[in-house]
Parts: sequence; structure tokens; C-alpha cells
Amino acid sequence: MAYVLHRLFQSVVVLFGVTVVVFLIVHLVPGDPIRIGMGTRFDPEVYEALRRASGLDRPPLEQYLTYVGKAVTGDLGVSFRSGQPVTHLLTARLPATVSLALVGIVIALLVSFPLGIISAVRNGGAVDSVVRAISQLGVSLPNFWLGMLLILLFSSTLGWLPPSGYTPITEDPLEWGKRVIMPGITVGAVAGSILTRYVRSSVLETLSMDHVRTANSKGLPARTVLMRHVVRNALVPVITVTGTQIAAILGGVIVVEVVFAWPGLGLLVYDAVRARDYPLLQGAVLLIAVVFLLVNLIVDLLYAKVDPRIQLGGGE
Amino acid sequence: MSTHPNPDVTAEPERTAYEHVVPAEGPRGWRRVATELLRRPVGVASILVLLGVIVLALFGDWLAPYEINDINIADRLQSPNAQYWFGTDELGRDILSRVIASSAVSVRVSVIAVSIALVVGVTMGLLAGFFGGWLDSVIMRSQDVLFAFPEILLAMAIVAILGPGVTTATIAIGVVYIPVFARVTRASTLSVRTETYVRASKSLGAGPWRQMTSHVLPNISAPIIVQTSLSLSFAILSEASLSFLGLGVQPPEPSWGRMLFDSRAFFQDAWWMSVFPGLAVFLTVLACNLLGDILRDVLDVRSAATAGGGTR
Repeated sequence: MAYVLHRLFQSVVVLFGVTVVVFLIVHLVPGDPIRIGMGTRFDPEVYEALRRASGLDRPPLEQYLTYVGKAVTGDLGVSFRSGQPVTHLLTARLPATVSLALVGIVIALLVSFPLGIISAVRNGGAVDSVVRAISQLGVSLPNFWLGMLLILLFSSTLGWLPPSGYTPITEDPLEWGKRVIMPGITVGAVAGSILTRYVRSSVLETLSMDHVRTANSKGLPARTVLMRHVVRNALVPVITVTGTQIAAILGGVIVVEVVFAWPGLGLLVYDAVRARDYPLLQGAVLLIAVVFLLVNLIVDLLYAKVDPRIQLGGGE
Repeated sequence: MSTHPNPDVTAEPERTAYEHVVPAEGPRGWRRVATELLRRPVGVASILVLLGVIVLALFGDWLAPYEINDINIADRLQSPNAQYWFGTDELGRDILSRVIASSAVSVRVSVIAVSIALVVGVTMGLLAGFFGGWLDSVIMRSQDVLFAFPEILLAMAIVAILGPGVTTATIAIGVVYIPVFARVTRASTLSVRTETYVRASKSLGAGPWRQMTSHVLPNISAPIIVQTSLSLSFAILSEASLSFLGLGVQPPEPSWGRMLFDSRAFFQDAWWMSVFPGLAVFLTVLACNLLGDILRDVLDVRSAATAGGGTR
């Protein structure tokens, strides 16, 4: 329990820091952010309205407290570009990103666990070498380039899949599936490669432990030993890495969405940065960072539950 | 990630405790690292690739067959041939020359960015680990905050603040990779801070500064070196990503990421435009990663922070 409280407190401190950083985005801009945001479509009336609406004419501390106070109630301000509430724009984009991220995670897990386990069991063999080589290549692949190569092969050359675009899963699951498969693979590839390495080394480490030797000498079938005594224990430390990879996928999604014109949060961030739409950017960054923090928190708590040694060892 | 034990260690039964700590023969220190690196084919290959990239970055102007911004509409969208090895783009510019020229900006951005992250991150980690207490808390919590953003998102936000361009992209990437250096350095500092040699120097009157620079830093260099190699690969990827998003290198200066972005309009009829620049990024990053992995093996670094083989 002490660990849980400690970890929660830590998250709150970091969350405070995150809100400060997000708040600062608009204040660190050299010059007038609204003027820059409006660019050539400058209109004094709109300018004044935006300035008042965003509260930029108030003292910084008051602005910060107002921003956080409103953010808690779900009000993230108004987009410079479209004039729409930021919260509305974010929630409209969320389903596309969540569905893509989930597909990416599922692909990463489906690939990495079997490959990592086989690779460890056949340590030093041909299969192991191939798996290690592939995971090494996967770690080094720029995800947007992988996406482009997939489009080049499956859309431009073979014509099997649409090169880009999005259909909500609620509208037409089959069409959604056709469109999500390439970005999903792209998002999952790097995470899958990293996870494969972790699963492999974790299983290898467990294989050399005493309880596994005991299980083997008891005469248990190799399969039972592997599944019940090796894999179950080996997966405990992998939980943490899975968490960081889920977080990494949240970042990877941004560039991949641009490649596939996938209308999620990533494409929104991209448009916001290019249009210098600061309130929209702030909202998106805050949302992604909060999800990121939550994922890490849940993973740590889950890890502590699965492995009681963590709680005894204190907060490090 | 090597799991095979060194046969030499297990094979020799009779050794004194002193010999266990200090091997009697064979080169030591950096010469041992160099010999170990050159004994591995993958290590040699990675070093060759990286040397090649550096040579291209330095002497690309002389090596490139064509002027990078020479527009030649008559030869536009040529597939790879004897005249244009990597083909030409929509303006008839030679892809090979542009890929070569892009290595300079990629090397420059990644080296400067990693230097920023290295200097700032190591200093912070050293101070945090050495002094502990409130300084440690303040420094590490601030790093946790930076860590709370996906790296590309943080870099994009910084670029949004400062405006797109090579310089801001370099700063952004540098800032993004500070926390990982701070964490690695802090963890290593904690593990050597109480070693006898550090305490001995303290009892001989060495101040905190001298203890840190003369005794702690040299003994934690291995994990920092490994992290530098891995971070270089991420910096190259980040630069390519930012330029791909139009937030890094600006045209007409060529960059791998930007070339990839421009190639998207020509998927149907010019595969070479998207294949070769990507291949350049991939090979460079791969070489950095492989070198980092081998260095980790050779230097025997087992730090949780660098064991990622991937994430920052």
C-alpha cells in the first residue's frame, strides 16, 4: 500500500510538471503566439477576441491556474485556426488513434512472444540467429519508411490494399480492417522487435534458474516445464517493457498517421504544429502525456502486484 | 546480450585473487576494447559503414556525381540507370548526389544534438547521484517530466515553439535525449560513489568537484559511451522523422527525411525516390545500434537504463 501511495504521489508531481510544460508551450514562443498563429489572415477583431478568449492578457500565474482549472473540467480552450473547442477536436480524433495503437500493440505482442520464446529455447541455433537478426533490423527501421515500403508493395505494385485513409470500425469493419493493417504493422514493428529481445533474454535467464532444473529433474514433460515454470516467470519483467512500448507506440503513431493520412491525434498534432495552432497543440500534448503517464502508472502497479519484491524494495 | 561465458575464465582453475581482479596478460583498457571490436565481423562492418557515412558527410561535395540542385526537366523521374545510379526525382535532380549530400546534415544534427544531451544529461546525473538529497529530487523529477512525453511529440512541441529549421530541430532532439543520459549517469554514479577509491580520495582532501571529475566520471564512462552510440542512432531517426514532417531541414537543402516526404507524391511511378533515402537512414541507424550493442558486450555494461536496446 505504501508503494502504491508513493507511486501515485510521484505521478501527481510529474503531472504537475507536465501541465507546466504544456502551459509554457504558448509562452515560450518568441513574439506574439496569436499573431504568429493567425499568420497572413490577420484580423484585429478576431485577434482581440482570441487574445481575450485565451486569457493571454492576464498575469502568467493567473493564466496557468485558469488553464489547469479549466483543463480539469475538460475545457482546453479554443483552436486558433478553426475556432472550435479543442476538447471537441481531440475527442473526435481519439477513436482513430486508439484503434490504430491497439492493433499495433496486438501485432507487437503476437509476434514478439512466440518469437522471443522460440529464440530463447533454441538459443544459438539457426532459428535464434534469424530471430535476432530480424529484431535487430526492426529496431533500426524508420517507421515511416517501413510504412512507405508497405504502401509501395501492397498498394502501388500489387494493388491489394488501399494506400491510405480511414473508415470507422463502427461503419464498416471489413473496410476498417483493410485500411488498418498496414499502419498497424508499421506501428507494431519496432515495438515488436524490442519486445522480442526482452522476451528472449528474460526466458533465457529463467531457463538457467534452479526451479527449472528441479522441474526438469522431476521428469516433467519439456512442454509443461516451458509453459508453467519458464514462460510464466519470464513474463513478469516483460510487463514493464510492454508498458514502455505501449507508450512508445503512442509516439510512433504520430508519424505513421501522417504517412497513411490516418485522421487521429498524430495527424492533428502535425497539423497543429504546421499551422501554429497553439491551443490545439497544447491540448493534444497534454492528452497524450496524460495517457502516457497513466499507462506507465498502471504498468508499475501491475508489476508490483505480480512481483511482491518490488514493494519491499522501496520506490526505486 | 551475449550469454556465452568467456571460456578463458572458466578454463583456468589456478589463479590468485589478485589475478582474478587484474588479468595478467593481454592488452587492457581502450586497446582491449579496440581489439575485441575488431575481432567481431559485425563490429568491423558497423565501423566501416559509419566511417563511410562520415567520409560522405565530409567530402560529399567532391564525391557526388552531380550538383544537388541542378534541375534537368528532360531527365525527370528516370529509373536507376548507368547515368543516374539511384535515378532522378521530379525535377530531374540526381538522387544519388542528394542522398550523399544529405549525410552531412544528418551527421551534423545528430552529433551536435547528442553532444547537447550528453553534456547536460551527464552533468545533471552526476550532480544528482553524487550529492543526492533535494538536488537529486529536483533534477530527477524534472527529468521524469521530460520523460512523460513521447520523444517525437516533445521534439515537435519544441519545434512548434522555436519555428521549423535545422537549428531548432537540433536543439529539440538534444533536449529530448537529456533524460536518458541523466538517468544512466545517476544510476552509475550511485553505484561507484561509495567505492573505496572515491572515499580514499575524499579522505586525502579531494573536494566534491575533484572526486566527481577524477574518480567518479572515469569509472562510469562505459555505460555513457554505450548510451552515446545508441542515442546517435535515435538522433538520426529523429532528425529524419522531423524533416519528413517538414519541421527539420528545409528545402532546397536535401535531407533523407525530406526526400522521403517529397517522394510520397510519386509512389505510383518512382519507387526509387522512396527506397534509396530510406535505405541510407536505415543502414546508418543499424550501424550505430549494432556498434552500441557490441560496445555494451565488450565494455560489459549491465545497466538497466541502457539495456533497452531500443527506447531512450
